[in-house]
Amino acid sequence: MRIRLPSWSATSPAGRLLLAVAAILAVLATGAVSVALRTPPTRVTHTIAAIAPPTAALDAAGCPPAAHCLVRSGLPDHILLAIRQAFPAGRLLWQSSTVDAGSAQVYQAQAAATLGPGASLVLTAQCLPGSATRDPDVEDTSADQRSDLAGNHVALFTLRHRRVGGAPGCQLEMVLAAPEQGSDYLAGFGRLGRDPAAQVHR
Amino acid sequence: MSDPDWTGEPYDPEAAEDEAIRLDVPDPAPDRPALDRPSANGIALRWCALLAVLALAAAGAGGFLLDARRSRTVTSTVVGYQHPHGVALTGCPWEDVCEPLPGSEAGLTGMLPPELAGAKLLAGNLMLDSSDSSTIRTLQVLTADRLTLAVTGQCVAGAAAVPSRDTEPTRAADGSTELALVRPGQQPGCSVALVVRVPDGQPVPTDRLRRLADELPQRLVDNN
Repeated sequence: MRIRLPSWSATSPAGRLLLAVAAILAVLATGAVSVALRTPPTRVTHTIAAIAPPTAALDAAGCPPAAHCLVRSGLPDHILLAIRQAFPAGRLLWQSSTVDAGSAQVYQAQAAATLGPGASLVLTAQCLPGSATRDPDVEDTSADQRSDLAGNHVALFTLRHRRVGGAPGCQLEMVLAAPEQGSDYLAGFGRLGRDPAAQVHR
Repeated sequence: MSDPDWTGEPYDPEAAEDEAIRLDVPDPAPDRPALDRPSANGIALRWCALLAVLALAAAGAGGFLLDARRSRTVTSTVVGYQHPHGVALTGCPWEDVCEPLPGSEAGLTGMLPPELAGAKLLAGNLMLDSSDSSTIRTLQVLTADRLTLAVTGQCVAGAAAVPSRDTEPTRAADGSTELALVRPGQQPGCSVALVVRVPDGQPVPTDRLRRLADELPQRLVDNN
């Protein structure tokens, strides 16, 4: 028996061509497998940008979406009394209540009053039935100012905003607009905000 | 072997055969076994073809594996809230500061339909989310044609869509009639309300109020 060693030079041209193609394919296969084993899987992250967690809310008229409401001229007596005690000289321009058509439960009471020359108050007291949340109290002031000759800032017009939580799901929001710093109305504004009678449900 | 006699002897073929130079390559090792003697040979064409087919299969498998690995995706979904802490009843996000603007400065009356262009503004304000200057709530109390109107627009983020509805008119002790027309905005949680007080003895202009209410969302909340 004789040993026959493969010889490139002795291989036919067609065989050489096939061997060259096989070598190239083998290199490609090795590279592909190597890259495949080192390639991590593609990670795709979808972010859903929701605006806020689901929120129960009243509509713009102060009525829960599922309720059947009526609007009535006037405020609940305790709210009307609280406003009159805080601002005895005030005059109501608008007063309206949104109530449940069946149970007469008050969902919203809204009033606009003129307190004096150039001064006004807008009050909105609301309750969302079934809600246990109590929004944090908020108070902020913004003013339209100018600078005098001495460089002092002088308020021309001041807006005071106050939001006060009441019973769970209830709150009172007030906006006082007054000339200058509105100092004449600050006491009444503070008193009304602290008065539980100004809330829809005490 | 001796030199031929060029002159006298005739040509003898047998003698010439004997005298010819032999050019055969002698066997270098006649007594060596055949197994130990290497010999060169080309690769058979069928083996070359088989190798090429195998390499092609390997390349195909490698390509398939690469494609499979590359196209393997891990998908995860993350819900990111713009207002993660929630929204107050007034529509102001808890983590934001909402500040009012006076109605006159905010140009609220300019947002109303032309039908209310001649109305007188009694009171009003606009609540602005100062983090992004978006309008949370607007309120305008107006008088026009002896009617008193309260126009409210609000957007509460995360709230459900508001149904369109008109409340039944209610009659107050002074004889005035009050009703509300609520219209949804394009975005869930956005709505407008037109609350109207009609003085005693004046008919309720229902159709006119409905047309007016239908115009309000586009002007007050949809362009926010």
